[in-house]
Amino acid sequence: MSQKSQKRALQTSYEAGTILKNYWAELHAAKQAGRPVAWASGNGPVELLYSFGILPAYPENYAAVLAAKQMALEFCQSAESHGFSRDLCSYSKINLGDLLWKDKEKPEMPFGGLPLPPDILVTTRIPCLVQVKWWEVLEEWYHCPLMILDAPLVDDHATEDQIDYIVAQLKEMITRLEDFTHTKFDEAKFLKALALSDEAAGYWDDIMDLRGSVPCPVGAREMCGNVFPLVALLGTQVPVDFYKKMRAELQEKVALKSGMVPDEKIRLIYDNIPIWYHLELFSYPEQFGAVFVMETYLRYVWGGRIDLKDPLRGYAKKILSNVWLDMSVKTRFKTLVHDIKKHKADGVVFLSNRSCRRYSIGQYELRDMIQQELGIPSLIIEADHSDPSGYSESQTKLRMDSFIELIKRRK
Amino acid sequence: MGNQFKDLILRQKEIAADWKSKGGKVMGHFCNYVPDELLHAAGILSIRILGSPDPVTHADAHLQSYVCKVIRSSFDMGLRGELDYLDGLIIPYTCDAMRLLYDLWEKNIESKFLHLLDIPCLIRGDIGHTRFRDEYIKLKDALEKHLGKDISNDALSNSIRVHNENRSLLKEIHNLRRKEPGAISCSEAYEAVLSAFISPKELHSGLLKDLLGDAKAKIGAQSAPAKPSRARLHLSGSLVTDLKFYQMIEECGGDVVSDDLCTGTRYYWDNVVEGDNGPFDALSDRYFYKLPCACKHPNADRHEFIFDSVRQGDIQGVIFVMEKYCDAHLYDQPLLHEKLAKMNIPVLVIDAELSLSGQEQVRTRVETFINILKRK
Repeated sequence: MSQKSQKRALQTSYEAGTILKNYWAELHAAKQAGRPVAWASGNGPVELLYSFGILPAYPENYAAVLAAKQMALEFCQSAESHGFSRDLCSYSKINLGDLLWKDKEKPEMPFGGLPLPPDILVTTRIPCLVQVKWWEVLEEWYHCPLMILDAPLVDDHATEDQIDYIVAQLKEMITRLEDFTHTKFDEAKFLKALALSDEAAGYWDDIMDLRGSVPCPVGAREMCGNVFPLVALLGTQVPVDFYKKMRAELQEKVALKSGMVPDEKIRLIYDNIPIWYHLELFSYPEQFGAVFVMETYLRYVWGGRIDLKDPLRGYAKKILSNVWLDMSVKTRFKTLVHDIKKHKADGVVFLSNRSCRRYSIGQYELRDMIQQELGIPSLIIEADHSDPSGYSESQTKLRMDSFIELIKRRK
Repeated sequence: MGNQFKDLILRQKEIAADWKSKGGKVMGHFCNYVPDELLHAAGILSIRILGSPDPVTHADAHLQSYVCKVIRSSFDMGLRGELDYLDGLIIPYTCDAMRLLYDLWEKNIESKFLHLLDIPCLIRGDIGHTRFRDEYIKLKDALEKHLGKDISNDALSNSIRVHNENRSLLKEIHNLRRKEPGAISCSEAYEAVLSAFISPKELHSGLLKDLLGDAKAKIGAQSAPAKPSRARLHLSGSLVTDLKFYQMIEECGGDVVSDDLCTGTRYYWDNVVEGDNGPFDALSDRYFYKLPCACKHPNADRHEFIFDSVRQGDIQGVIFVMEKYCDAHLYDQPLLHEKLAKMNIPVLVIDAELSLSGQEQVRTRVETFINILKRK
């Protein structure tokens, strides 16, 4: 499958590659210097890790990198050949397949591969139970400490007892991290990490809002390459500087009414994890004047503001808030309706993602509800986010073509 | 003994109607983490919904096909009105799909009482313990509010006694079967467990006592202890509800003498131990600390349960029945498999979507597996 690179709409986007390279270099340097490296799930308490001087590596994010580089299939097959079901989350299959790789020569791994072995494992049920099960496998293999942040799904707003549950777990994590690092918890460092996280998240929210302008200044494909600092580096200065600069550039573009496409006709919303091995799908409709202006994955999975006046509670609340995967179906619907209106969207593209049940269940309801309530049509495409087997690029594009046609006829 | 347990399963709606005609309520639920005792103490007959092997007709419009059959078919039953006889439904947060089923149910099916039992994933440690107990309190409060009556400690203690007796009898059958091959057939034993999920426990315990009495008489009449003639198996997985599958194993010369199924030992292995803190805390503790589901963390107790069973030395092989799309069990399976292989225990893995017996290929594989075990 082709993944031709595209000219960036934003100059700042060109810096994402350097940030990524630096992050990986630092990770490997830390490992070599004997500093602890965590393997962390997305949506975990990364700010807390940074405040303890622990660098997080992200097997999930690395799996997306491998998928985007068209390297996923072999690793998925490797996991399957060791008994892991083909129906499991393809992020996990890629990671487990990488770790189980045997016999054949391994392809050259981007960024030198994940730093091995992990010194501590940190996971959470915020995105899914699958993370916990996957991390249990890693614990079995690496025999290192495993920390789990459990969480319920949130309906509307996190309730006080739900926040209490997260706070209690965070406190226990702090104690365990003190034991693990043989250092005292440094509250000032933690507060600094939270403040940086909140600042970066604020810029990110602004960026997402600016993308709601007509015309939309930057599309989904480019933004998928820009989200990494928000996933991995929250709590450090890097995403603050990066997104501050990006916001400024976007503000200029919006003032000039400079759009992603020259003659914007159709505005689309995307739901689910990007198809990492076919990111071109996001830019494909641009030739028809259609642009993706908002994605639940970019807007409601990463970041989140923190009430710094009550840091631990504020942090717990942020962890439970505005995470699409952790929302009830009702809340997903309310949020989607809000965003369709806010972003003046003409249609929604749902990826029914066979290896991410947590994201995908409820999509048929969402489709029906937005049709009924707003008269907004949807397209459901079937694929896996990172396992390309069985995916048909041409079929998917054909379906996208008809969907664009349908929207055009209705306008 | 005849087919009294099977009969209970076939007559479940009739039994439920009978219960209701006497003024009781009937409520459904999905999982071993829903405390039957609490429902019983409120005068409710609890029915565990186990899905159906029938083709899904209505649910596909709401739910993708890559969700497990238990959830798809149970939702289908709800949409088709097959569960209209229930006075309420309790859905626990076990796996992600089950949690989201609650949302779909709430939107699409009218229920007189629908409760999300939002239990944690953590089943060890104080933090998980508090949250677990709090969710049980919420369930109790919701039931009391709905029914307009309190669930007293005395009623709860009585229900605990009734359920402890039922579980103890099921465990006794398990232990007897393990010791005395042929005393109770594999099919009959699992019919007994599966019928427990939908029957009034007092009635069911009576039948279990009869079964045990007959089996003990049979053993007493033997001149010498029976020797196992069948391949002795451990069955691992989530739920195996296809009664014909147990029959198939028997026909192929096998006998399931041990399991870690949620339609098996995970249901009845642990009893409630009432201590000084009153029946409610004892109840909550039983469910918190019980032989865990793969959805819960840590899961070592389930794994150790399997290994301990195998270490007793009388198990010749392990069959994993893997329900398709059941993530939690699917992540554990390769690890368990590898460890069993190191213990020199042959393993067979079968994929299932509730129904197993209808597939000729499954029979061939089970038959071949059992033949190999017998030759060893």
